[in-house]
Amino acid sequence: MPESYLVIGGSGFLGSHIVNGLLNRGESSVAVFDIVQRVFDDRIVFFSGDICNEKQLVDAIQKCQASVIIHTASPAPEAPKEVHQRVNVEGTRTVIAAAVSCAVPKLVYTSSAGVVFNRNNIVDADERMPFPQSEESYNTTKQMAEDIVIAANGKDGLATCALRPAGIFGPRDRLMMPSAAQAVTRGQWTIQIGKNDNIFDWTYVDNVVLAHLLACDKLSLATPPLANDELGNALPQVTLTTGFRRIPTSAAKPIGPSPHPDKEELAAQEEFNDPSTQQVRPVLRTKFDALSPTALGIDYDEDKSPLKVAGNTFFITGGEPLYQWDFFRAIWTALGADIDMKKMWHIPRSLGQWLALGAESWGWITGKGTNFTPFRVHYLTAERWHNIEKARRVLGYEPIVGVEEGIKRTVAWWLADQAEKTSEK
Amino acid sequence: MPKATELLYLLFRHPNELRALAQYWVWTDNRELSDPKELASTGWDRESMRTCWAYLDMTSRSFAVVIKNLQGDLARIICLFYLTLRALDTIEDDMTIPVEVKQPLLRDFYKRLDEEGWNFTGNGPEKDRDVCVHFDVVIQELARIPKSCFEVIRDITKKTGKGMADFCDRVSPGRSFYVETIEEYDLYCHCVAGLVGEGLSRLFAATGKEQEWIADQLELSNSCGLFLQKTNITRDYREDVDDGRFFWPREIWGKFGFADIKELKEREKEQQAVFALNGMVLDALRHSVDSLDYLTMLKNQSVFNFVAIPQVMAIATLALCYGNPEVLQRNVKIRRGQTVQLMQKATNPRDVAYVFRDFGRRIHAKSLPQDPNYLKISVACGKIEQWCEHHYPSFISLVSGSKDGSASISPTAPGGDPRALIYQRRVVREQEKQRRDLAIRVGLDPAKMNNNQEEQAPWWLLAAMMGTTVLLFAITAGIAFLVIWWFDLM
Repeated sequence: MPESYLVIGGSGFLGSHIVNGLLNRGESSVAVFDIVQRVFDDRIVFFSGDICNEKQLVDAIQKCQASVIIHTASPAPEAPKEVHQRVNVEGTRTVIAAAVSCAVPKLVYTSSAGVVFNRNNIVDADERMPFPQSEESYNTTKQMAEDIVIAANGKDGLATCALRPAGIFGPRDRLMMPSAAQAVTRGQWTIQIGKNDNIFDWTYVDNVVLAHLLACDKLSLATPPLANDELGNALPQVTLTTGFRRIPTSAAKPIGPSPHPDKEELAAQEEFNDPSTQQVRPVLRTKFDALSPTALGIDYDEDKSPLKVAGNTFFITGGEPLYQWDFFRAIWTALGADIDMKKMWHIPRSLGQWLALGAESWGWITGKGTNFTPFRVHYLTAERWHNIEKARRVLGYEPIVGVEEGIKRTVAWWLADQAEKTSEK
Repeated sequence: MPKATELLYLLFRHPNELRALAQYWVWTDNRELSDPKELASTGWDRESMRTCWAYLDMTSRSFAVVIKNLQGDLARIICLFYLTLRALDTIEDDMTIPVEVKQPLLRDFYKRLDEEGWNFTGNGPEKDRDVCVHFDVVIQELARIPKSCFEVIRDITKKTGKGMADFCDRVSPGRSFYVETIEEYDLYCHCVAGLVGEGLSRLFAATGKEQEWIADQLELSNSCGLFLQKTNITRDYREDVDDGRFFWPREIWGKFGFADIKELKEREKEQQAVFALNGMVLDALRHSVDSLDYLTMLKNQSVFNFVAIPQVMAIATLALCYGNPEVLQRNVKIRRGQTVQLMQKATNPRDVAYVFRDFGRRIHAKSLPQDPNYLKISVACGKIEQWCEHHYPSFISLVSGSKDGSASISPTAPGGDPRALIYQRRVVREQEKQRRDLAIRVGLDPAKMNNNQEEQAPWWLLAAMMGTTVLLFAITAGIAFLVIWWFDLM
């Protein structure tokens, strides 16, 4: 029987993309629960309601006979503390209660990579990392919500998992692109704070959608965990942006300029053109690796295998972290800025932080506010990237849109959107 | 010995490199081939082998030392492998030999390897022609190496000779050697360098220096070879173009508005030419992470050094070439002091990885947003960063200096790396587990024992302390009572 999907928060940036993803793969039963409707499509059933109102949720679940709930509702990080608390914590608790009371079998929760972020450098973070104390209410409430979701796994037959995307961007994004465009109009590309040797995860929205669809498909209490010996071969590198080319070997290579190819050469060419014959490489793990035998033996709680979908969390990124300023410079360049690296002002990170503190105070005194804050300086100069091997192995997740292509599509959307807005005026 | 001016320059501009040079001269103990204890493996007692060692010195400036320092027989075997390929290369490079003569010569070269007394005198004034002229000594020595190793050398010679001959077809009269696509470029590099990588892996395995399966890791072996070859092709642009050899594939430079590769050296379109050069560096970087993977698989120290040294030189050379218009005008080279410094670091995979990362960052620091490959370079360097931190996480540092001289692990967290928390939790869990195991071994219920330790121990301690206090008080009071009683009696 085909699944029936209820997307809670389906009008939001990610939510609307998930709804489109479901429709595009031909799902016949897709419903949205949100405050207001933003995606209009005849194939969607829309329920307007409050995430903290269990009655409204139960009503929607029963009406659409949901077998899978995707809970992706979350306020923006900039929203006030109370809203975070209400939607992320109370809302999630209500969603779980409604799902359990309606005996929904599956629930996929959109958490955030921010759950491990507290202004530290996040380097090769994997899912073993404990939650840090965080000052941002968005992050702390996401932590609480994730705990609620994971604790509900197995409760009355409900299977849950949580995805932690990092730095989502793409068409309809209302966070990153406006501020990037603003930086261009203000000519802010002439300064660089820090050394720009910090790499950062940016994830194109389609990749996050794919991860959600995979989670819906693979989430089940009955599926046994992956066997440890399935971890022995190395996964291929993510080559979406740099491009994939197979390395020629004496066993698999193109014919090239050979004037009279013999049988052996023809066989080698056939091998070369057949992606399934890609050479298997042993995986190299130190004992600090999240999936090393040492780690599997001691780093996880005894009754919780990391090698299955149900009850687990997954970092989701594009797998191509890049230097933070490069990401913005590429966008600025695509928006028409001509960045002259020779005229760049280099400001050391510590000085940048002091200046930002000054700017923030000045903005506060004058009441004008500023986007040049110490948090932003940190955001531009910190390492922030994650390890997605668990998602690749257990969810079968492989990113499909690289960061370069993602930027291209996002900027194209932005320019078209801006043009539309000006023509409307 | 370098010139005094060079040393003076180093003293002021790069004092660390001068220090490295001095250390190298004072401390480095290179293998002495004539050592009587080593004769069995170096073959120094034979005239023919001494000639071969002399040819090695003559033909390879950089490789001679690293080859000689290989352990046991491997040095001699790889010296012969090197000379065989050098002879083949000399024939391939020689533009005075007509193609119809050259092709069969290359294709059948492997058949000569056990033809006693064979040599080739048909070379023009090539710089390494002596190796061909006296190739009979190499043949003589090849007869003495283990059969399994000889077969590897012959097989690689056959494949390389065939590949070279195939590519030779492109150099028929009136046409010059031209590489069109990146696929073709990869294939050419495979023929002249990737195959060498395959051969070396097989020799490491055949001599028992490395694990058997390394011989089957064809892709990684090729990647190591391709990384070196592509670096050389990138660096040698001017020399090759002046000699009429055009190895840079049109697929890389064609999109920058050049009709002919020779136009890259013209100064008018320098910026575009440098972007094309950067495209070549980017293509070479594709193999950098594979090369680190390969190095991590090696177990033998001498083999590691042998493989790692050229690899660190390559990444340093790429960093020197990236964004550098000088490459289009002359042959740029890394400084000798830097070479020595790199050689000293190329002793373990962790340091090599960090060298890769440092040069990756230098490359990235020079990239320009106007370069169409701007994001690709960023992602490619990011891959090296990822590799380093994943395989050799920086929050773990080895601390030496404990009393028994062994190194211990210290999860120091610069800037508070939260990964240290995972490790700290692991240490606690390991201790708990040890305690539990101990309890089981001495026949106690581990659950109860934990309780004993955590809850009862303080109670006992408190009781003991209180008991002692009461006892001391009683004794003191007793003594006082006795004294008073005694004096009262008096």
